[in-house]
Amino acid sequence: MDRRDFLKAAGLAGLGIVSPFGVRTARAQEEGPYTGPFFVLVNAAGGWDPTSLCDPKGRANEEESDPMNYYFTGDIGQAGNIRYAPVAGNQAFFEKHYQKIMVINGVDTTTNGHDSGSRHTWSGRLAEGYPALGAFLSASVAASKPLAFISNGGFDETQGLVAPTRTGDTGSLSRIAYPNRLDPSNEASELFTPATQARLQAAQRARLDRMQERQRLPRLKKAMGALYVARSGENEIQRLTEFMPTDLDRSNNGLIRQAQVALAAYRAGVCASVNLSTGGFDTHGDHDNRHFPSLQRITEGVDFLWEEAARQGIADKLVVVVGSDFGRTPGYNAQNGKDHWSITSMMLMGQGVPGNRVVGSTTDRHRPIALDPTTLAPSEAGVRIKPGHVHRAIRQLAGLTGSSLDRLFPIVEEDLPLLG
Amino acid sequence: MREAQAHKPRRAATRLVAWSLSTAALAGAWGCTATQTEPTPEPEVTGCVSTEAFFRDEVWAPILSTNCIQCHNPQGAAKDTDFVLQSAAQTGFLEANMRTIREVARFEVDGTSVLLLKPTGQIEHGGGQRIEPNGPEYQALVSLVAQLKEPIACAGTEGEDILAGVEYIEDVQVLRKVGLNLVSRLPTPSEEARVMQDGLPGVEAVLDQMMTEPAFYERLKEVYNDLLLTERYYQDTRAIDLLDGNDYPNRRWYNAEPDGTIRDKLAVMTNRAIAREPLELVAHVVREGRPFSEILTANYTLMSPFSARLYGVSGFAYFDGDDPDMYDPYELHEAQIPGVPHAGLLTTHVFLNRFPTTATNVNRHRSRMVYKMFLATDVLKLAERPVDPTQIQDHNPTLYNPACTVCHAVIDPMAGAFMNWDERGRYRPPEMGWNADMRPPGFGDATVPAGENTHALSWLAEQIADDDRFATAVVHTVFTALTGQEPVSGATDGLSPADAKARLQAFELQEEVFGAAKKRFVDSNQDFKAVVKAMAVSPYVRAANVDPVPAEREAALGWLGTGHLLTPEQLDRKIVAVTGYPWIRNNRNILLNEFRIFYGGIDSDTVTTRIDEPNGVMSNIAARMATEMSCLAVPKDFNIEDPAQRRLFPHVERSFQPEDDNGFEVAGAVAAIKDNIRHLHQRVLGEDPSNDELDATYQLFLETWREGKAAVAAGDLSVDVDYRCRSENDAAGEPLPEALRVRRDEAFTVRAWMAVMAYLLNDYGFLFE
Repeated sequence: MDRRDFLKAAGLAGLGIVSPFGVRTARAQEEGPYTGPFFVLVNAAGGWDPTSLCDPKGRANEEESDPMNYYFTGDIGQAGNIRYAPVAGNQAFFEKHYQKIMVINGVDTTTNGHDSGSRHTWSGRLAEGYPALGAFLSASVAASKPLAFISNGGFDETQGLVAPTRTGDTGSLSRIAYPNRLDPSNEASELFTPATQARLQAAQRARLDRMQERQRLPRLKKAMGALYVARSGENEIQRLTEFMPTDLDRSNNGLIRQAQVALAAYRAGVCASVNLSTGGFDTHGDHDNRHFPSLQRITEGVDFLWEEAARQGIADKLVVVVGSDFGRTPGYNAQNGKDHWSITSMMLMGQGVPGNRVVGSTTDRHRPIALDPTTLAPSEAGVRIKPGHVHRAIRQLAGLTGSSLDRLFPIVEEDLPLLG
Repeated sequence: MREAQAHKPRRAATRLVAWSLSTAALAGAWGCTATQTEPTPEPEVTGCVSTEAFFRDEVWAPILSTNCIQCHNPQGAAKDTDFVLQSAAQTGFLEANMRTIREVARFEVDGTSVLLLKPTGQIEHGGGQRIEPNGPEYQALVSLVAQLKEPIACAGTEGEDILAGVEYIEDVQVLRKVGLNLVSRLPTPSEEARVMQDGLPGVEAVLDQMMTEPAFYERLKEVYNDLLLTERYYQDTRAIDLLDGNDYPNRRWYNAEPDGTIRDKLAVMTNRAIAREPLELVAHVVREGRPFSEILTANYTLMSPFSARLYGVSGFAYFDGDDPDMYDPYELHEAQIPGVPHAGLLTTHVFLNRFPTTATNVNRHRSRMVYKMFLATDVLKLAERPVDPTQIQDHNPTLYNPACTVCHAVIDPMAGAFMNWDERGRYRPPEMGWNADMRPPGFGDATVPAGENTHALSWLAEQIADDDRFATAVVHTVFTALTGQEPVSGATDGLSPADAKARLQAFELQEEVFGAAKKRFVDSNQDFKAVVKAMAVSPYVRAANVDPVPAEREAALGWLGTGHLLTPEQLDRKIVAVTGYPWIRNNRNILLNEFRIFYGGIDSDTVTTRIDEPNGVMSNIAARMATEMSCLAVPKDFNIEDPAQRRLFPHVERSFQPEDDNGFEVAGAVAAIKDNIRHLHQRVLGEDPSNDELDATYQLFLETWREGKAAVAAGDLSVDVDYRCRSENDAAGEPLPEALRVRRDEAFTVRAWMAVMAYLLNDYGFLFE
């Protein structure tokens, strides 16, 4: 059975490659590089402060006893319809990109634990058992690609849908891309002739087929299936070496380097989603001084992503989601820090996202305001926005509503017209 | 020539019989005479469902865990009632909830249990009507109430024996699998003979010996570093840099050494001793056969001559300007840092800095990690029920608001017990006492006794050592080390009823196996090795396959079998164990350096979780490994003159070709080649190949040989092996006799064997265990 047949058969069986309580759907997919939307998920690890970013509150004057922020309300900036806190690199970022940004404020993660908050934000469900958004999306559109889902951190559980990939020393990529060459830069250094190499691979596939056919324990069957799929894109990694920059960014903003690798992987047609992640947001003390540089890394990193994507001619392919574990408590604690708060914001950008738009709101003390599920106007009898609502919208944006994976991992929250 | 025989895993008749064999036999209960080929008796399957199983499958999973617990939890609306349920995050939650429901069910109104009246709204219930009267959920509760009055206990095996039909690997394969995991080598023939004779008790006996080898302690440190992550400080002087210069004015004592090279070496040796204190303590406690809780209760740390000098501790032979290599950096001794109350690894600098604190975190992170690593409790999971910030308006919510206290009541007392250790891991008892707005330092309901505040961590360590969950944590750690997976959670949130039932069945099986391992741990005065042995012979390690079973039972078997991808470290060692040679480049182990992160490994710093399933990049790395190692190992093995001394090719010579010049099969050569293929399957993959597998591998050899032979004859391929694969010198670099050099390959057998080796080294059976 060749790769196409295997994936097709597994897909028809509705199961694919099993996990005890999850399923890797091995889909029949078009051969060739992946060229669909590129989903970039930017994680602010540790719980960011939306009031210092896209849900500004501020303080009226210096006499205010328990200010939400130390900046003044009169200094709050506005770019188009989007209000932003006048700190860090916000002004430059929002002024430049507001036309493609949709801000969702008042998102209720219903938790203030890091693990559960990160999971809720990025899987759309508080409880365990759902895949990370990046895994869900890449498994839906490019499951067989060798670097379908690159993770640089953050919540990246896959539920067996797709194997996550970490990127190490990219200088080694050619040695990875050409495993049969004793000298990766020398085409003539292949240990085995092309015929032998083909024979070897066919023999390995046939043996794995035989083993899978005999095996019924889910864990072992799943492991064999994962190896089968991992091998299916062996030669596609070679394209990655063509697009990888020779000189990756070495600044202290790791997001930039992560973005460079991710864009190269996308251009090589081997990647459909990536988790970009940066930390430093869990600022229980000295909040402003420690939090703002982290926010600046986010805005600068996302700005770089768009600039670089435009330079490479793939900006129209990007779908960017920016989020965090949760928010931070209203006001400052005794150490001038902010603790955990379950209300947060998310930002969406890119293909299909209506920019210059703000959905949802919070009170002056950053409590969520329910909204009418039809008009999205504030409504006491309405609903609170939860990560599940956002995930539902993203699935819709990606054209995955009603797909097999959508049915397998249903979002319980109702439809909200977040995208207009 | 041996008769070709397909590997046939043994099938277990039942869970109880199959799994209990080892422990029961060891205890003498089975007379210790059963061999692995004896049929196990088929116990009677009764069809009986015990009250506990009924509660688990029909009440807890579909009703309590999804409906009632929304309010009836420690921070929920019904937190002040008598009916407070524990979530699956709590160790032993099923038993605890069974006890609770038994108590509640006893209360009756007019002869009917409140367990039936309240949820149906027949009497006042804060949550209103939750289930339909006479609906299936109600009927399940009616049955349970009746059973609680007259419990059903099942003799023998219950109707649904989860392990019925499971097939197990041979006992010698168990030894190979566990041996590679623990000591990175293949079993010796005598060890295999012991197991062939004694079965699983023999496996345990051999493991006892293996667990005295240095490699075991290296593996043990690796296992615990996956938890502690203190290897972050192993490089350069990262551990030394953590120390306060005022506390340890001699911390850079090596700077007095005028010779730069020696100075650097001294710095590295000193740093490593500091960085490895917790991991070496773990190894030391096990090596010395001490109760394992000494890793927390030890009133000492381990010092080398180099770190002792830093700490200013006498009694060690200090370096005095001579050759630093004369000192064994791994010669460690128990010693105390003056003025510091030790509590095992908890008070080591690297532990305290790896899990730091801040002024507002006030040791809660440290507390959480101790719960997770040594008490099998993920505190954060206690709070995974939704919280509503609009409800949090109290003063000091961590002390008073139920949404917060669910975790803080657990972690804050322990956080207080860390009070004497500041954010830099320095011993600094607070002058004004611990934070008054937090719960007092303690553990659970116990408070640090007056007068013991200055060594509160030592007191805490003793409490943990006596806690049942410490044994659970040890079992969890060993389970993960041997199987590569986390224990199954009993949480059923979001699962379908069928999946929830399967999950709980899997959980119950695990509890049974873990319970037995815990018992051995406790009965042996906390012998860590007892847990390793118990887990090594458990169905999780031994299961190989299962007869066709219904899907729901298949799901319940989802955690059986050790189909886990080897870590970079494990694969690196397995390559050496099987081929005899490491996979290196520029004298550095490739999998531990260049490809460590790509291959899913950790650096204990920014990358701290392993990837446990292969991706495209990892697949290519495995293929490169197979290419390079076949290029290296095949010629080197043929360098060895005596076939009996060869690891890979004891049955063939390079001259053995399967066909003569006229294309006719050379029977003797073919037989030898097939014998060698069988040997390679056994050595590389640990399997006795079936005829089909043997033929498949032979065909690969044959067709590669035919292709190469023809290409050489036609001048399309060189008669020489690629220069990067030639082997013409011995291990000392001296030229080998001409006949033993592997350079020319006119017969094309060397390269055909390389293809076979690449095939096997890149096989599932090699990359996974």
